[in-house]
Amino acid sequence: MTARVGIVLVAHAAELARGTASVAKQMAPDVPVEAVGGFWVDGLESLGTDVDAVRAAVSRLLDDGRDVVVLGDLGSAVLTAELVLELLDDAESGRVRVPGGPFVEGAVAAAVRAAGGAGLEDVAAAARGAALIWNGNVSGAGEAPEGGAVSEGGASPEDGAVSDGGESGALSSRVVLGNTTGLHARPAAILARLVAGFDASVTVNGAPAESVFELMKLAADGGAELEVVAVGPGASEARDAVVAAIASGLGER
Amino acid sequence: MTLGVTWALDWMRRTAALVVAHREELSELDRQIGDGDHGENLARGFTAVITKLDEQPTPLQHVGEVLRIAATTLMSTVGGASGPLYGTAFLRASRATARTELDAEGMVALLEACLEGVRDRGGAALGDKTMADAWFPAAEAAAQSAEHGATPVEVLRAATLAARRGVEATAQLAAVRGRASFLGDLSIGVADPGAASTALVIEAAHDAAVAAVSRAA
Repeated sequence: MTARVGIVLVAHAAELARGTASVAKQMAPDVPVEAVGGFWVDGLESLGTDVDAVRAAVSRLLDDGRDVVVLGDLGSAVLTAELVLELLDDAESGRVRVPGGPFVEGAVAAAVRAAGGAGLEDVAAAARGAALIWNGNVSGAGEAPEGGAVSEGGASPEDGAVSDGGESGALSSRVVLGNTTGLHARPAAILARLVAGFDASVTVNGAPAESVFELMKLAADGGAELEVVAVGPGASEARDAVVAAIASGLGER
Repeated sequence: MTLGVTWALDWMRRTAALVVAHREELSELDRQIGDGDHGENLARGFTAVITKLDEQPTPLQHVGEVLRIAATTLMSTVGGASGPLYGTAFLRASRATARTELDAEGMVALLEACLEGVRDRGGAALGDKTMADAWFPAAEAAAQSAEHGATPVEVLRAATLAARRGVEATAQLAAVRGRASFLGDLSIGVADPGAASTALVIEAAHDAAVAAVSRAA
């Protein structure tokens, strides 16, 4: 799926921007992520943020036909991003968001959401919602912008059973996680990207499967039995694909 | 008596000189409650503003043109939060001063636009221990003195004194924005470096106005 949204990471140090971009790209290799870090004075990097460089990075992505989410590492990086937003013309600034949110977690959440083909507002909400990982608010508003459907399937399937239909129309299956290292970051990202391609809301053990962080918080070990619940027009295909992917180890053994 | 583009150019030169002279002091305040680069960043930024103004191929006509060049140059050369903040302040001020001469009301409009820019960009309220704590009393004092029929020089004098009092008041406050906010109550006792540099910027405007008046006399 082609990403419609690109991400610009603005940090006070080039190393921090580049490193965070690498972490995000590892989980969403096809999403364009621009790293803008540090401030150059006479050819030497000092810590700071560069308005011109941020503006250039945003323009590159806009010119490439993408909408843009900009994240900053500290307050002045966010100020810089908001200034760039003001400097753009109206048609351009309508395609750019500076949502705020934790830098690393927000970058990863936004990149993974963008990899699934999500639109600008969804990707921005994913970045903002990544803050919730730290306060234990599992299904906060930011992470599931399209409403409460995600974890309200209402299905509680019988042991080991595959249940089709049911009172809420939810489809569920149980499946054994087929890798040895468990549902850590990379497999979680694969799963999150996979579900983004379906017209369905999918949960794994109650966690919204489009959220890498919620999946990781399950701390599911390799060989664990997981419950997959899908709701929506594409529920059947989504459930089958997710079950097959989990069973096969999500790209790992 | 009104003040025009010659005053504005002199204002920027005097700002650069004051900021360079106080570079260590500003950075020392920033070292105590921030990242320690405020003096260096502003000295570099305002020096670049002077270079940029000197490079202009044709003489500038309006106060607003001077401020627009200062704004864009600061945005590009400061590197810290103060770049976007002063950049936005001067950009707003340049829109409020697109004319050849400023009277007392024009000076108030300039200061109010600066305040508005700083608040819009940083989201700071009065008492947050930021540069807004100098811009706010300065704009307020300027408006009051203009209402009482003050000259532009008197308006800027009132603004300068109020900004200095604002800086002193920030020493009693705990930071809630920017890097200093990580220190919270530990930031009490140290004046805000952004407010301190703001007072210098306004003081330079006043000094340039006094010089313009004495030239005219």
